Amino acid sequence: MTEHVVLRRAVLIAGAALLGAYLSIAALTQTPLNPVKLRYYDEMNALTEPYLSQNWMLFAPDPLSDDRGILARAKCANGRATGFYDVSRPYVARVQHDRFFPSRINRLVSGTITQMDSPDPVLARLRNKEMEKKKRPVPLLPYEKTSRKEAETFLARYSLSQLSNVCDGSPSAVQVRMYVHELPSWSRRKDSSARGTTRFEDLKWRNAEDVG
Amino acid sequence: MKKFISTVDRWSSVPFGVVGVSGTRALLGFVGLMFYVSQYADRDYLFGPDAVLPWREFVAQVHSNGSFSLYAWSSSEAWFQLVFHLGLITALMVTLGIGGRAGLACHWVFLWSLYERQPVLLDGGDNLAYLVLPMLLATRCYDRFSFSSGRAKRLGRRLPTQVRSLATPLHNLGVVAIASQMCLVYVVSGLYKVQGQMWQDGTALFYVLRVPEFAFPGVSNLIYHNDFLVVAGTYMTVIFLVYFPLGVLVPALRPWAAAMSISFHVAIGLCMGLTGFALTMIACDLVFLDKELGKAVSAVANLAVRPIRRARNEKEPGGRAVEVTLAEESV
Repeated sequence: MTEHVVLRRAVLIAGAALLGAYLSIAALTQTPLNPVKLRYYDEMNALTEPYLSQNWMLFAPDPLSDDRGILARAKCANGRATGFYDVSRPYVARVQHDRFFPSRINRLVSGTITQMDSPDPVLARLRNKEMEKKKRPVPLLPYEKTSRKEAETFLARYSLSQLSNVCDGSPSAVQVRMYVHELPSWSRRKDSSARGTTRFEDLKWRNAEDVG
Repeated sequence: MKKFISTVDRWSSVPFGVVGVSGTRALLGFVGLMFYVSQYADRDYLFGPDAVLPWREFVAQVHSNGSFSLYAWSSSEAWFQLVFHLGLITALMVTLGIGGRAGLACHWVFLWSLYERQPVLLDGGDNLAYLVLPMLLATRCYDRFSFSSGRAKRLGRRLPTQVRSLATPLHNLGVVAIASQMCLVYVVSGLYKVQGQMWQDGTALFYVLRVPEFAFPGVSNLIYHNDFLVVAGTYMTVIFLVYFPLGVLVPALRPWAAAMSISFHVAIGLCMGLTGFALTMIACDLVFLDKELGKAVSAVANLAVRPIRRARNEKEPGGRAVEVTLAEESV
C-alpha cells in the first residue's frame, strides 16, 4: 500500500514517541531505588496505576528461602480449644504433585504472608540501617498497620473456612499461628542432622462472626 | 535524513513478526484458558460471591484502586457463574483464533476482572499477560494459527482507506511494544538479582528450590545437592537476564537468546510448578522467533501433508489405469 504515506509516517512516529514515554515511565517505576526514582516515583506510579502497574522483582533481590505457613485452632461454643491444624500444607502438597497448571489456593496464605513481610523499600532500608546502628527502628506507619490488620483478618477467615468440620461444624473463634521455618544454610548442606530453626507468632483470637 | 525516512517508510509498510505475535496470542489465550480450568473446581471459594475474600471487601478494594471488575457489578451467584463461564469461553476463542480483536479485548476485560477478584493469587506471568494483551490488539495476531471466518477482512474492507493504511504501522508498533516490554522485564529482574546476596554468592537456586511451594519432589534435590549445578545455574540466570536485550538487538544472536529464554522458562515451569508464569514468558518470547517459528510450522505442516501426498500418489496410477480401461471399453 503506497497511499497515505504521510499519515502512516506520522502515526508510526507518534506511536513510537508514545511507546518511548510509556517505557521510560515503566522503567522508572521498576528500577532499583535511585535518586531519580525517589524524586518522581509517586507521579510516575500515579500514571501507571492500576492498568499498567507492574513488578519485575521476580525472586529478587533474594529469593524466598524459608518454609512459611500457618497453623490454626478453633474455640468451640463450650469454650474448649482444639489443637492446632496445619491449614496451608495440604495445598502445598497438591502443588508439588501437580506440575501442569496447579491450583493456586496455596497462594492465599503464602501471598498474604509475603505481602505482610514486604514493606516499602525506602522504609525497609531505613529500618535496616537503624537496626545496624542498634537504634529503635521506625514503628509501623498507619497504613502499614491497616494493611497488616487486613492480612490478619484474611488469614483468620481462611483458617475458619478450613476448620469447618471442628466443633460440630460451628467454631466460635479462631486463632492463627504463623510460622517461618528457616531451612539449613548452604554451609550446612552436607550435614544430614541439620534441621534449621522455626519461629512462630500467635495472632489474637478472632470471633467467627467478626471474620466470617 | 533520507536513511531515517526510508527506515520509517519500511516500518510503516512492511509488517514484521506476524507469525511470532500470532503464536503469542494463541499461547497467551491457552494460559488464560488454563487459569480458568485449573481454578474451576475452587471457583466459588476463590472468586464467588461467598469467596474467602468477601464480596463487599472486594468491591471496596476495586473502588480504592480506581479499577473495575465485572464481578463487582452484582453479588448474585448467577452473575458470577455467567461472567466466569463467558470468560472461559472467550479464552478458548482467543486460543483458537476465533473472534478477532474484539474477542481479544473481551478476553482482557474478563481476565482483568478475575485478577481483581483475588489479586493475591497472581504472579509475574499474570502481570505480563494483562500488559501484553492490549499491545496485541494493535497487531495482526490473528493472521496465523486461527480459524478465521473472514468476517474481519470483510468488515475491514468497509473501513476508509486512510484507516486501513494504518494497519501496518500499528502492527509494527505493537510488536516493538511487546519486545521492549520483555527487555524491561528481564533487565529489571536481572538488576534486582545482582543486588541480592544469594545471587551474588551463587547459592540462590539452592535456597529457592528447597522451599516446599517451589519444590519438585525427587527432582529439585538432584539440582540443589549438586554444587556445580547450583552455582552455574544461579550465575547463568543473572547473566542471561541482564544481557537479554543485547542478545535480541543483535539479529544473529536473537534466536539463541530467545531459545535460551524458552529453555530457562521450561525449566522453571517443570521444576518450580509455575506453569502459567513460564508459558506466558515463552509466549512473549515468540515475538523474537518469528522466522524460526514460521519455519518450524512449515516443517510440521510438510510432515503432516507428506503421508497424504504419498497416499494420493499411490492411488493415482491405479486410478488412471481404471480410467484408461474404461476409455478403451467405451471405444
